Parts: sequence; structure tokens; C-alpha cells
Amino acid sequence: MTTTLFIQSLLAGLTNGFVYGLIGLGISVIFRGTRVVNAMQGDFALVAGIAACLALDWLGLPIAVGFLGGIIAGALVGWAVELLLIRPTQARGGSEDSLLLVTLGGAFAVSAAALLYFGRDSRSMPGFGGNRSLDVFDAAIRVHAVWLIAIAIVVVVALRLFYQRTPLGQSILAASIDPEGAATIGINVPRMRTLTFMLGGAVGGVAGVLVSPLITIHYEMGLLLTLKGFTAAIVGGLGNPFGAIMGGLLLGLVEAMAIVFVSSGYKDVIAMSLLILIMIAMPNGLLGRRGRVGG
Amino acid sequence: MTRADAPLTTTPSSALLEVRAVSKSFGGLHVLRAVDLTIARGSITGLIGPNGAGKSTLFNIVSGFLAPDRGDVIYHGRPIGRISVVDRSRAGLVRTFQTPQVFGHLTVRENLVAGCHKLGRSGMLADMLGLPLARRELAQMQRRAALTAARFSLEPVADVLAGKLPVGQQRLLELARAAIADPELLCLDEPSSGLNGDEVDQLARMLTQLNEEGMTVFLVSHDMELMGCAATVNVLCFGETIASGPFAAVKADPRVREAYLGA
Repeated sequence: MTTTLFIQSLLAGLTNGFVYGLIGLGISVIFRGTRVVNAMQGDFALVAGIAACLALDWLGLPIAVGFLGGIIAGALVGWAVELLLIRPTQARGGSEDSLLLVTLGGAFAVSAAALLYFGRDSRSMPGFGGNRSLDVFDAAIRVHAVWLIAIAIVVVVALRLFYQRTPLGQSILAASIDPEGAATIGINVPRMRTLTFMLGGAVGGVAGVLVSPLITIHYEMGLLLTLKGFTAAIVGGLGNPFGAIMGGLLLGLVEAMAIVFVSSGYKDVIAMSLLILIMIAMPNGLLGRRGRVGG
Repeated sequence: MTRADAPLTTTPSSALLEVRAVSKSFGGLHVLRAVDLTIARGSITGLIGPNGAGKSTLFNIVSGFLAPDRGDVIYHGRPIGRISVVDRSRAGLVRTFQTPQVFGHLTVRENLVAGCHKLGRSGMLADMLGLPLARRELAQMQRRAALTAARFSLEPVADVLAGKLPVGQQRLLELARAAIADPELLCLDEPSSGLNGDEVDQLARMLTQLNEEGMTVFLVSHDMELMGCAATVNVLCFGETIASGPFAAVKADPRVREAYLGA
């Protein structure tokens, strides 16, 4: 194995890790703000990718505008999911398990709708910097992948600041920790939950528009992304934004190293086995119990 | 017994909140039977009664956590029986809970800032984008939180997670969080539960001080010492009001002694 191959794999693992981290981040945002484990996170990304693709292909909009459209589409789907699926289920006393199943059903429905209206074929989408690459110690990384990493870092830092430094962020956490107590001090709990789903949808949208130029858009990509993102979020400590990114990076890098040192056919087996071991050793995730709570 | 039989009644000149003929049943169990209660503006009004008297049900109806089957709650002259907890809070009616419901995973300071939520005017978008107006508002809320923390002796624990505080300080924090946005009517459910003698004294001083500043207080408590700071005390027994008046007079009422004090 050459150093160049190793670095190439490292860069690929890093890029994939940030994608998984972004999906996990969305799952964490929604769990943190509503206590709902959302199985539709990858589908927010799918919808955002499709919306951006259509905006670029059909309307001929600039990439940045098309991407923004995709992110808004993700946020709108998040809003619709909360309003049409989550709220009615909760109003009838649905448990956390019921809510997970409802979102899982929603994920299959979105996937089926994408198959129906978008077709079976994969579609490619242009990214930032076209197909240009940067050299890193003789290895190459696409300019778009560098954008993806940079934007993912900005998103996670912005979210951290949002929760720590803004009254709205703290009201969302308060509404999640104690809905009754929050209502008595004038916090509109349903509105905070809707906003949380919109925020989670937007984060999913960011992941969708950033990953689509790298992997092509396919109607089944939502559930696959959810599985990876869910793993990232759980490993990092569900509910902790930094934990989700850390979990995603670990997953991406382990996959990449498995490809280099073993075989691409075993990457999932090796990555998941390692993650199972981590979860046995640290059942609350890498960042511990505080990752599971609102603060 | 009907209310007309009650030996002690008061007619406050200016009612901030009135409970009018409120009834509530759960299944076949009649918990409240046409209960009337008046909270005078600027008063400390108490509610006592033996276990199962319906105090919590009445308190939950006043604060909006339960809707009455019949009758209504009048606040500022308007019926609010079907108005949500959030809207009541925004109208100045705030409550605390029998078990302190602080935001355990936020710090004391963050709890107090959250208590200022309804004072915010900048809007969600400005808040999310960190616009200057939102930043100014946050600075104001943080100043208010610092002043409130100092006032309620919570300054030394301002950066401690609320869930890590002992019960006494959690109660104080819940009271501070409820009071920080200057509510007009502060409803307290068993606020001295779990507190030691010194903490009850401190709580009584705080309530008296808040009341002297113009805040109306509605107090549900078993604590006779704390109830001493109430101007008017209502006694509930088996879902009916059996007495209402100054605490000393209520305590002396034979029916109250029989029903509640066991004498």
C-alpha cells in the first residue's frame, strides 16, 4: 500500500464521515428538540437533492441558489412531517416507539414517491468547483468535497452557538426538557417542536445538496443515509451535535481504512463490528450521558 | 354544605381572578362541585384543604392544565376557562409545580433567561440569524437573569446545571424563573414542600416582598406557617368551599377544624 493510496482513502473517509455526520446532526437536532427519533432524516436529504437537481436542470439556476432551494425544500418537508405525522400521533398519546415507526413509514413513502416521480435512474448533479480537484500529498480531493467539509463545520458550530447563545435555542431545549414547565413561562411548545423539525429538515437538506454531487441522487438513498447518520448520532451520543459529527467521522474513517487494509466488500462489516464494540463499552456514546439530554 | 352556609366570606373590591361555579368530575367521581373563589388584585390568597379535597384539580383549572366541566375562570374580567397555558402565561398568569419543574439540563442562568422568553420581541428569524436587535434583547435578558439570580440568592450557583441543585434551591429557581417576567398573578403549588425551616422563612419573605411590589399571589399549601402570609384563605373540603377569610378566622372555624385540622 502506498502513502498516496492511504491519504486518498483518508480523504474519502473524511468526506463520507462529514456526510454521515451531517445526517446524524439532523437526527440529533430533532431528538434534542422533540425526543423523536426521526427515521426520515435521510429522506430530507433526498428531497433536498431532488429539489436542487430540478432547480439546476429545469430552471437553470446558479448552483448556490439551487442548493439554497434544496435546503428550503428540506426544511419544508420537516415542517410537513411534524404537522401531518408527528403532531397527530402525539395528540393521540403515541409513544416514542410509535413515532419512530411513523417516521419509518414516512421514509418508505418518500422513497416510493421519489421512485414514482423521479424515476429509477440515478442522476448526477454539478457541485461547487465543477469536477476540479485539489492535490494533497499526491492524493486528490474534489473541490466540492472541501466545500462539504467546510460547510459541515460551519453548520455544527452555528448550531452550537444557536443552542448556547440565543434565547430561541434555549427555549427549544427548555420545551424539550419539560414541556409543561416551558408552557407555564410562555414558551409555545408546539411551535418549538415545529421549528425543531424545520431546523432538522434544513440540516438534512444541507447534507442532501452537498452529498448529491458526490454520489448521484437515487430514490433509495434516503434510507441508506438515515442508517449511516443514525449510527453516527448514536455513536456520538444521541442529541449531541458535536457527537454526531465525531461519530460520522469515526464511521467514515473506519470504512475507508477497512477498504484499504481488508476489502471494500467488508467495509460495512468491519465498521459496524467496531461500532458495536464501542457501544458495548460506552453505551451512551462517545460523549457520554450528557449527549442524550437536552443541554 | 352550600357556600351560603359558610360563616366567613370576603368580597374583595377588585378581583383579578374569579372562579365561578366550577365543577369537575373524573369518571363518576365529583372532584369539584360548583366552587367559587376570588383572588383580589394585589393580595396573597391561600387555598388549603385535606388530601383529596380537590385543591390540585382547582389549581390546574386556574392555571389551564385542566378545563372545567361547568363554570368558568374569569381573569381581568374575561373568561379564560378554555384558554391555553401559554396564552395565560402571556397574559401574566404563571404557575409553579408541586415537584419543582426546572430545566434540569440547563444552568440556573439559562433557566432564568428561558423565563424571559415571552419578553422577546425580536422574532425567530432575527434570533436565529443573531441580528443586532436579537443580540440586544439577549443582553437585556442576561442582565435581568443576573439581577434575579442575585435577588433569589442563586448567584453562587448561576452556572450550575439546575438538575444538580438540592430541592430547596430548585424551588427557589422555579419561583425566580416564574417571577422574572413580572407576572401579574403568580400561582404556587405547595411551594414549601421539601424545604427546611430556614428555607420556608426565606420563601415567605420572598413572597411577601414580591406581593409588596404589586404581584398577586395564589398559594396552595399544607404549610400553615407559610399560609400565615396570605390575606385571605379559602378552605376546600370534598370539592366544596367551606370557608373563606383571614387565616386566623378560618383556623377558628369549627367546620374547618373538623374537616382539615382534625380538632
